[in-house]
Amino acid sequence: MLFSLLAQCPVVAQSDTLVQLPTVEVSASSLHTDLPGSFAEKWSAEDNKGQSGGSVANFLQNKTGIYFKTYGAGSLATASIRGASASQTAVLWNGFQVQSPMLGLLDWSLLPVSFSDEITLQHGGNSAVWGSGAIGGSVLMENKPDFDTKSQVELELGVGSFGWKNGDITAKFANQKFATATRIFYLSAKNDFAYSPAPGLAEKRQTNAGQRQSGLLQEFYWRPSGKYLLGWQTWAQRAYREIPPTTTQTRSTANQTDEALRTALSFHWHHRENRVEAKSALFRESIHYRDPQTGQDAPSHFWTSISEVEWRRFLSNHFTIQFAGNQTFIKAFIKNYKPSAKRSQSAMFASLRYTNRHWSAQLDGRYELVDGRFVPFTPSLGLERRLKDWLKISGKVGRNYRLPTLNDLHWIPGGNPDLLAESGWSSEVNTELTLKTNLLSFQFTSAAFYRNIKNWILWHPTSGQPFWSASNIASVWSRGLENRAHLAFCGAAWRIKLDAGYDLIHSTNQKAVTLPKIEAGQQLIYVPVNQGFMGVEARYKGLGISYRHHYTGSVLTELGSLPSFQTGNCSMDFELSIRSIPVRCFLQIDNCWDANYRVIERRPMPGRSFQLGFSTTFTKS
Amino acid sequence: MKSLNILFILLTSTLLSAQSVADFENLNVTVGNFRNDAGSTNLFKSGNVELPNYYDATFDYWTGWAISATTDVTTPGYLNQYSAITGGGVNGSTTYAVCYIFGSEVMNLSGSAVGGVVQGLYLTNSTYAYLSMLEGDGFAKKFGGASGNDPDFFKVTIRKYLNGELGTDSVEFYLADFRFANNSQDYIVNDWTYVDLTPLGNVDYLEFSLASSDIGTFGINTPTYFCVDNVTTSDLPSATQEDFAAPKIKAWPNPVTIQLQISLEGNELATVCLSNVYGEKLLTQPLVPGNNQLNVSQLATGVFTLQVIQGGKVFSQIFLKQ
Repeated sequence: MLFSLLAQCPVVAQSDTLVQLPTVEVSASSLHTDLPGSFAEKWSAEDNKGQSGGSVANFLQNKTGIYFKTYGAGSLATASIRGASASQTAVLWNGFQVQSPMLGLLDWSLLPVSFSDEITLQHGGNSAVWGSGAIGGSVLMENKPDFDTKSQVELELGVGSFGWKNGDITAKFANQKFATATRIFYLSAKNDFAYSPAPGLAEKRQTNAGQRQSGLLQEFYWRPSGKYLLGWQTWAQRAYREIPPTTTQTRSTANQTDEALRTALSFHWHHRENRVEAKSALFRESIHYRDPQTGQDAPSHFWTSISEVEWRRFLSNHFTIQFAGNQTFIKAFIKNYKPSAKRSQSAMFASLRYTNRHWSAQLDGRYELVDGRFVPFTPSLGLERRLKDWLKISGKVGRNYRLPTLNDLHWIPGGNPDLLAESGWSSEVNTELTLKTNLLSFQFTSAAFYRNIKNWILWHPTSGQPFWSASNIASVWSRGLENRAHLAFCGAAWRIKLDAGYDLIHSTNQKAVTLPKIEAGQQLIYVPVNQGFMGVEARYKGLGISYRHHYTGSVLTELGSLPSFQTGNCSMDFELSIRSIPVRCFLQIDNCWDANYRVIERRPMPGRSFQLGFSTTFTKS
Repeated sequence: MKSLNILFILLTSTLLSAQSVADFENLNVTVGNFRNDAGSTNLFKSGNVELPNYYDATFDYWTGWAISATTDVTTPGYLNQYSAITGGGVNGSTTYAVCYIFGSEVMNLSGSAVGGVVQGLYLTNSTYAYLSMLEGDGFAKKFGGASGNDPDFFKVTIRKYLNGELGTDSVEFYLADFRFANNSQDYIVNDWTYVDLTPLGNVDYLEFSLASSDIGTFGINTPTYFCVDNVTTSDLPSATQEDFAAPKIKAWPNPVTIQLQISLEGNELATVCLSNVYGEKLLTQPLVPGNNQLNVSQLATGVFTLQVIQGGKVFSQIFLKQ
């Protein structure tokens, strides 16, 4: 497990970057989060301080080497981890999957980073733990009760280029038995940046690219005794986004409204060696696409109900066992389903962990019944061995799967109700090297992975059918290396952090397909073979400055290929105290070298942009 | 004497080859409306032309040919997929045919036109494709690209089938052409243009396919639509017609699930050929006089073309496999 926090100062504890874990966590159990054999990175919300409020997409893009397929500022953003498709990444909010069951993916630009206390990125497959979709990786967004902060209000305001305005307020109140948190965010932007449509051509200004997003997350926690904890979270969000024209489109009038209402209830109980968690969630999410110019008006929505019970028992100092059951119902509505589609998923999963001073091992297994059909048994085994104080090796092998989306199954025409789940085996080996002195800490992590996914779902023309339809026709082999290095120097009043990463990922189709035209051995489209980043952050007393440079290799696209590009982001923040109230002012410059690049064909990206703002915290302990 | 010779030739040619024009007005589509469902025959018939149509009522999905009298020349997008950019048929007529190609599409000849020369037809762009090429959309590019210099094109290729064989000759027509060095010569067709098909010679049926410079992994990005009107066919005189008369057969049921029954009259052997919407031959089998069975249970659900060839005579029928 790689904590970003570990790479910080070894001696001078940074109170603003350490998460105080409560006695009872309202989060996924540790048997699911700290997985032996997995490569993971974790951040607290504090790690986003000094940057303007934004989405989880922006946050992870800036912190990690994962590849985001983004259609432009404020537009749809999906992730590819370890060469997997956008729908092969599980996204969980307090342990509940939040990907759209209709599309199988999530628009990461709609996840405000301020709505999470902790974000964990688990690289690699974890379907035995998280179920469908956890093939390339998993992102866990967690809210945590804070019974220690009696009263606190945090405020952040920012303005920036292209009409950017954002505001975040988080208010927390607690006593010994009761804690509440209210988070509100708002952002708007015109995104009317100038761009060059092609080399040598006059600049154009992007049009119809504005967005307005607002959301509320309300949390209540009640701890009647040390054994019990009840939690309730409701997350309401609305996003209105205009859909800009491509570089080869004169104009666009299209827009899309995304609305989500997610409510979760949880109950935790622990007594001696036993720990029980029961939780339930109900989601209603909708997407409404409109285009006045073409007359298109396409509303869709879905309901998801999830219930999960988990029992964990500490068998001895070394063994922990966990059993859990999950029942998920989904019902989705769109005209093309004539008029609705539903799915029932029942899953049983169990984990057994062994730990001692040098070893850690975990065996997981999951059985899932989907609409009366069993998904193949999904096991995984992770091992971790600390060879020296400074050297750890670990590895994992497991089966992973992704259920077909409701669109794959029920879209008319072309949906195929006989589709099988995409599935296959993955394995990885990780090496972690850690060195610490009073002034310095260094960590290097290298992960090598290998994955085969069969029954990969593609839409393609089928003989005898005058439309495209979904089939399990493809097979994809992914393998690669992920390397991360972190170095931190600390003094009494200063610290310097350096980090770097390089990913080499081959993710190739193993079968030739006529249409879409795919050659055997061809790299997946929009999956770069090479990616790298390096960053430096320096802090002296209240002044912080950072720079991060990203390299993204060339990618194949549906139209050919896009060249590699490099971008640099820098930021500066300054902490001061006004009448004992801490205030942090920040300046952020994105794409500071004003690179002209494309992530998606025909979708321009903004040049250099600025964001300026401040945050302050009023606390009463 | 020279004048007499010319008169003789003209009279002879008229006797040998009278002409019919398929203008689709007989299908009684009123202004502003369209038909994307040809009913149980899966064919729209006008003059000596039959246009295959696939329509699924469950899906409300169609492909192949539709008959239209819509007039919208300004609304972009597929919701306006039935309109021609001319706003009507040739010479101000009401009705025209719209082709939505999924791979390739055929136009059958019928009656006395089978095996004869197709004189020509009028082509133009659909409003959907025209505005997409003119201004771009979320999927397809504006022709010329951002610079206006991209050598884009959108063309329809017409080939013939005769006696079950695909002819080697073809007629190409550019619905849009931006390949000129001088951009002022670039054009997107927005009026009815006559296309001479006599170079194809004798024809049993025509096959249409589209090509675009805007193509990617998923095929053509340009909307694969075009519009047709006033198809002029040659009517062979009865004596000649007899030679080209189609084999006398019956094929049923339609739609079919497992077994297609084919009844062949007379004493001659024949060959049955089954092809999909791309024109790919899936099955060839000899037929004997009398009743024959064709097992189609292995075929996927969809539309297929059945051709019976007997001594150069061809019978074609579209059928639906369920």
